[in-house]
Amino acid sequence: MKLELIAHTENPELIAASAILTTCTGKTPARLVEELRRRPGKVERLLAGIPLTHGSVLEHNRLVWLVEADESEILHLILKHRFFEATQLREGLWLLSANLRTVVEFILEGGGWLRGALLESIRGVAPTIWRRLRGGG
Amino acid sequence: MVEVKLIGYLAPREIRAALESRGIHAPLEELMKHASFTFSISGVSRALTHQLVRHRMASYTQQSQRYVKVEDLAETAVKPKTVDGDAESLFKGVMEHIQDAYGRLLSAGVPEEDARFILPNAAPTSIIVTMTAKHLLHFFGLRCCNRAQWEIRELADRMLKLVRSVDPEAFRKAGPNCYQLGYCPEGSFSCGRMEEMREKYARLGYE
Repeated sequence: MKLELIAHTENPELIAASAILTTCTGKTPARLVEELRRRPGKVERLLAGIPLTHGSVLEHNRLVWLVEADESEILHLILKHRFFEATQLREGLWLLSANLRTVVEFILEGGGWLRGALLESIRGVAPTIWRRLRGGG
Repeated sequence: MVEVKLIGYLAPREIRAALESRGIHAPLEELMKHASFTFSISGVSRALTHQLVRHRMASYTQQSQRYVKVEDLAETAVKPKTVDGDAESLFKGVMEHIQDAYGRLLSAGVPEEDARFILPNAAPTSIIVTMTAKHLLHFFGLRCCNRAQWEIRELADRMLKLVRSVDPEAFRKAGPNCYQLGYCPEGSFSCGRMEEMREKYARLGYE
């Protein structure tokens, strides 16, 4: 099995932090994005503080992987975790996508055969979430 | 004032480029399942967001009326165009009355989460919406339609223009169902203006 993150929405943690503040301030989401873009430390603090099990703010992004796997492995994955989207590109090669919430819940539930590779794939894209998951949430 | 902005996206063309750089090809309809668009929407009514969140295959984060006090309703409430003349002064008076009562409830110690029970559908709100490109096509099919309510139809048009600006080819066939399907599925409820709609959505966002 091989997994490679090949595309993703820009800066998922910035959008997640903006979503957190959208709920509790009178500012527009777009304005919050612009303000937080200049304050990466605040983004990190916000992401470090949210309960990972209340992760709806982690849904505003998309991560896309190229996965080499058997059909049975992908079938098991999408049956158990219905928010993964999969496309068979050819025998043994899949395009797989999900948002960060799906990834977080997948990993917190154990993650199965994909856990290690999936966790490592978000290291650069969502570093705060990656650190928390590596440390057990 | 209504504001709709794209604050994040992964367009089908970007996924296609990532695949093609590895010598892999995939049809557009498959890429649409993996592409995603995130919108900042503000200055719309709660009446609109009640309709919006019925599109279940999407993600939403909305400004909370438990944590954000509603202010100046008479000026910020979303007022339909049909509310004019005498109706406009009635509408504005009710908004002022609600604002006053809301303030009095808060002053009486009623928490925001309970005082909000008297707020109207016209109260303005902000919301973040994320949909895959595939689900956006479904959303446009229903909400760009002339049968859709005016506020959500205007929102859908703005969202369509934004996604066409970042991936014109992927959304060339997007629009109301009559435009996507080539026929109107509304039966006896059809607006009967299919040609007009086809012309509008062939151009929207491309001019």
